[in-house]
Amino acid sequence: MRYAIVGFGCAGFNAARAIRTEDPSGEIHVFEQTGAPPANPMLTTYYASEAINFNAVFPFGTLEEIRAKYDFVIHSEVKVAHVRAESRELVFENGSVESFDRILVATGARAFVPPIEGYPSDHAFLMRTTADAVRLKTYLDATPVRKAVVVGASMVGIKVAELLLNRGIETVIADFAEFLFPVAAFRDVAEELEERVRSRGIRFAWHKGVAGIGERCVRFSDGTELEADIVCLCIGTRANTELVANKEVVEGEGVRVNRGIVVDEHMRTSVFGVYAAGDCCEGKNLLTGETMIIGLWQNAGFQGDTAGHNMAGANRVYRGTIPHNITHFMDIYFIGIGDNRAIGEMVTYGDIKGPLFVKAVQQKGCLKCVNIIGSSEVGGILKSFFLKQLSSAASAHLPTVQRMVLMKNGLPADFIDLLEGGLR
Amino acid sequence: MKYIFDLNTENCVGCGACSVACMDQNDTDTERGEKPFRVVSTLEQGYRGETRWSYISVACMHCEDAPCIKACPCGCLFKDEETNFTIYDNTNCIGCHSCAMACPFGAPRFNEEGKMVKCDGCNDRVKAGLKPACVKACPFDALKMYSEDEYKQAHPARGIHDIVQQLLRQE
Amino acid sequence: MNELERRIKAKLPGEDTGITVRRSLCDICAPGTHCGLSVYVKDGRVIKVEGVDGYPNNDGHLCVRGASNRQYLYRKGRLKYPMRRTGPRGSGEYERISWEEAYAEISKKLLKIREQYGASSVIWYTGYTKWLRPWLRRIAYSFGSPNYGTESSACAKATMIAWKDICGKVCRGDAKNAGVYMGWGSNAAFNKFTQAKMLRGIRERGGKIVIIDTRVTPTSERFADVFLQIHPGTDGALALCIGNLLIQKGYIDKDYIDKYVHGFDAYERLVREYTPERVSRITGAAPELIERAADVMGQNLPAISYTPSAAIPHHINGYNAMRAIISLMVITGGIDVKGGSLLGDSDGIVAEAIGFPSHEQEFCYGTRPEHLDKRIGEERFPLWAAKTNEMQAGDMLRAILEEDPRPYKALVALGMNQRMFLESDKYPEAYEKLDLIVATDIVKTDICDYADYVLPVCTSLERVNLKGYGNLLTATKAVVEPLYESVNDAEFLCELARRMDLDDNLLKAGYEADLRYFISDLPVTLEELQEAELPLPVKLDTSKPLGYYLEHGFPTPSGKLELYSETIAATGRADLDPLPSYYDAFNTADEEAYPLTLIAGARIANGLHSRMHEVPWARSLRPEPTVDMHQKDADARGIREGDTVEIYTGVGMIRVKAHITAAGLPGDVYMYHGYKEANVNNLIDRNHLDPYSGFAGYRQSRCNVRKAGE
Repeated sequence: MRYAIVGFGCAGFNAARAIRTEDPSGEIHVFEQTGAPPANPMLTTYYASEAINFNAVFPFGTLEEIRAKYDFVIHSEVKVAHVRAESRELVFENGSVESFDRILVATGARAFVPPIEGYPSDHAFLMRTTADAVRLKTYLDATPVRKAVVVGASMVGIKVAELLLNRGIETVIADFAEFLFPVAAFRDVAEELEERVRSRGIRFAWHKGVAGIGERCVRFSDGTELEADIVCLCIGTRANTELVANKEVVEGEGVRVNRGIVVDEHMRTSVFGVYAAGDCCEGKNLLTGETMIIGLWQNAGFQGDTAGHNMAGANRVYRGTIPHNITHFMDIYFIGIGDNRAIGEMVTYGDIKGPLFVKAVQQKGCLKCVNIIGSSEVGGILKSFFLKQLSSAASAHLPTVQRMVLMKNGLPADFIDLLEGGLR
Repeated sequence: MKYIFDLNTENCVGCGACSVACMDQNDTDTERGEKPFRVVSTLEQGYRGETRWSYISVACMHCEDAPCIKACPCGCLFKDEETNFTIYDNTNCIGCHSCAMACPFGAPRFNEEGKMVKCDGCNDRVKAGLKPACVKACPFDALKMYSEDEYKQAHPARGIHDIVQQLLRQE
Repeated sequence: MNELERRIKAKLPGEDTGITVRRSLCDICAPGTHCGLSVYVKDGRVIKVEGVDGYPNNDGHLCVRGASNRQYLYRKGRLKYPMRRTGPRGSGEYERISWEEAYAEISKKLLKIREQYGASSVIWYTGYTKWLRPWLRRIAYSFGSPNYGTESSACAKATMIAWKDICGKVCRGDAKNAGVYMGWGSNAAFNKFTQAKMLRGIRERGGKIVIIDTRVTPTSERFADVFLQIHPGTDGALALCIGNLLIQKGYIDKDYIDKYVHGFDAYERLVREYTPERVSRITGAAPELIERAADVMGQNLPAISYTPSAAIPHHINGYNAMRAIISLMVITGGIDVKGGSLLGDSDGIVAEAIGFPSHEQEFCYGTRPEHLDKRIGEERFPLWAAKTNEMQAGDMLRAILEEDPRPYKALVALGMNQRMFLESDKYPEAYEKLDLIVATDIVKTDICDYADYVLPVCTSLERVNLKGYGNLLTATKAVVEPLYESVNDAEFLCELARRMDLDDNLLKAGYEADLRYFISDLPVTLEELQEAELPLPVKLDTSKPLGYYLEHGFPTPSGKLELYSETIAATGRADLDPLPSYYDAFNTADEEAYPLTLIAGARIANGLHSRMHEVPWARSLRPEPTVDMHQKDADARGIREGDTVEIYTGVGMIRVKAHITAAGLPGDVYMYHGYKEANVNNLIDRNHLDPYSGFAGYRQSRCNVRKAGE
């Protein structure tokens, strides 16, 4: 078998490894233009803040190490221009074409930047790729910066703000939204987190859509301005789906693309032999039953792994996941699980200003959203329980072992009873 | 040889010997707020007018397809190819707690530097032919380590390993 | 980390890692256990402990306390060097002195007190640990004092006396052949792993298990064929009732009774009053369940009973309750028979339950003067006096304060912690009356603030040990040097004997010489015992053959098994009944003001008296002093899990955390003892003592609980 993997991040790496486990002799061709080993976008801010060294951005090791272990060919000399799905061919920019038995599209996602006047600019930065991190760090090391604006009250935005603050830079986080982590946090939780972050010295500007970048300022759509020596744009990401976009063929015959490439539980696209995994594709959101871009490192790993095994003939299933995230900033751990817009019965534990706070929304005794400030152990178990409830027809008890660990981590029995939907 | 940890919940009484043995093996400094990798717990629950007691000893379950391994953004967690224990090298750990968020059993711990530490199954001891510290101590024959073959033969009743497998399948 | 660093981190023994494994034994709990320890040592420091495979009792395992040995050894608060008091008693002001000064001053003062007030004015007391007792007893006698006392005044002694009272000797159950196990307060599945194995054995071979306890426990849940949950202090009534049923239902052995039992008729008249209905009202157990227990026992004879060292005697009717329990084996013909209760032979401590001749007992009693003054508690507790050779330490506070039967001038206290005694906080008043207090311990305890001299001693890991297990014998070397300037307790006493120039060459010869003397008739040397990997069998069995006492008579006044105690009858005391009669065991406090029953000292796995409370690993398992109480009692007082509450009596108050559990019955509250910040024994009147044994009624007194601050 000849396998092609286009894009070599978390999903691509996991796929290569899985293929090699299933098929010791197959030919694996990896197409990755950067020539770098798989990097984790989440580590960029840690590198830029000097929490880790450069090599640590590549969690699976150097290319040489990986290649020695999993035996594949890496092609950084050519650029893939298009994936011809039906014929399972890669079309390169130099015009050459190569065909494969199985193709995995694992092209990831890129930072999203809306049209902004004055962008790009030498003092406007993104934070997605290793190159972005190097660029920001190099700039900050060389240039005195007094004031900064981070556009985007996202998980990346807050990390960037933290690293700027740690360098003594006056930092404002601006967002069109009304509060922090608008897709994960309940409003009161977001306000508490904002309060904590504010007390460390970061300011916030809400209802601010960025319109332009000037010499020493950022301009917003409401006509206001903020002083800024640098601007960091952490607005969001977009899936890299262009390689499979079937511009030339009639609709319905190419790879189905929504906001990301649509795949099933086997990581198959709508075209036979073509798979997709990671941030470029949509997986199943178990909460809604619909596909969506999930954008999590672990998810990319599972998807890549599943795709790899299946490309080599196995029959693996990755059911999908629920939206969940843990964000670690300024010694605060915030965990969001599920849909923060869900409406239902609300249960809370703890003082929102205390070391452990849990707030959950339930519908008919089933969890729909959980926010936690403080304990990742509680987060892990509640996420597991969330999934258990989703997979059980009837409402489910928390297994004894998990109940005990929750209690060990400070949750009282009566609150756990409530999380179970008052089953007792 | 692959190994499996199991807890016979019929025999466990939550005495804590395993937990202290773990702390002794791993130099856990409780006075500085460090938590043992293995914890014990007694749970008393009312159920239809009757009270039921459960006793459990919990640490890393060394899951077959361990979710923490995939969740770690830094590649700190991996399987020992010989023992199948989930082990780690926390040199590059950034303290993000993604592993804890992925773990259904609250197993990861974080040291004073904020880096992840956890039960490694006493991997080096096991490779040297010794038992894990907790298994060695367990005075009630509740906590055991089996080779895969032994486990199949023993079919331990009321073991926690089965419960764990079931939980992981749901994820 | 490179390979070697990893091996060192994993504490793997080897030449490359510099880690060696040395054998020692755990002396945290009583000498009846003393599990084998494999101690991992690197650069002269202990880095890890585990159980020794194949060792008697523990066979490779350790309990939660034993697993804490490293921290027990290196705990904060270890006494480091001898100290002399400089401030007033209680001030805690001390100065460091040399051992030389300490020995010189203490020996001079002791001799002077003996000269002025007589040898009996010096009290020689030891709390924990227990292995040193032969040396303390010996020095007390060589010095001339009858007032040798131990923590056994509240431990297993009363149980042992009850056995001696009835059978003439202490018995142990033949669990391998017994038909039914009657566990009175037995929670072996939780706190005595060596016995949990035994219970599993009984069940596997089809034997029956009856558990009588005030709480639901893992043992009652997992092992009991019949479980009788009763109120504290009512075991005696229950045992009499079972006796009544055994007689009525014809389960007793009439021939055996005729031949070997003394006082059956009187016993029969006594138990007749204890009907299931009446006893159900006393105990709280359903009449049908009591009948079932009697049937299960009667249909599965022979029966053995197990009572933890002191759970039953920790009630002021506990001595009689113990006798009532033992009586059940007597009337069913279960003493000195296969599968029944077998008479044992030894009081040995260093060589506990030793089945071969040693000179330990000779050592203990070799210098005992022919005439000794009255011991503390001798008159007040005649059974104690008749069946033991030590003072009843539960009477020490009163004796010193009231100078009864004489004034006391000095206290040499080895490992004494007053928190074990009722009204502990009153002890300083007694200390004020003494001219000299010498306290030795591993760590500082309350008495150290009052003692004139505070001296550091070491743990079992820092000394040579000699120890017998059944017919096995072992010795260990010190695995590390004694920490700081600590010495072993026995060696301290030997040196004191030298300095006082007592007429006692064995004591003066020193600790190791004494150990050699103990085993001088045996075909092994101390070195051979130390070098062997495991305890060695010593085949010199001196125990009597089965049925020996049936044939030759029991060592009691009547020569028979005494349901009616001639020893008690001989005291002439009207308040003591030769029959094992039952009486209410509450104190006299007002029931309305104090409607709850306080059970002080109910065991927790991670505690052993006060010994583990300051050991962080053990303490971390239950970090705060906590009372266990029933939901009903909590609800009535608006108390929730984890609330701070106050337990109070007419005597005192302590503040603890509440844990709500359905393990006990409503009305009963359980509190562990020995906490410095919440000493439950301060809540119980000093005179709440069993009139037979002098044992404190820790496990039954009236109290109430309220939310803190209300």
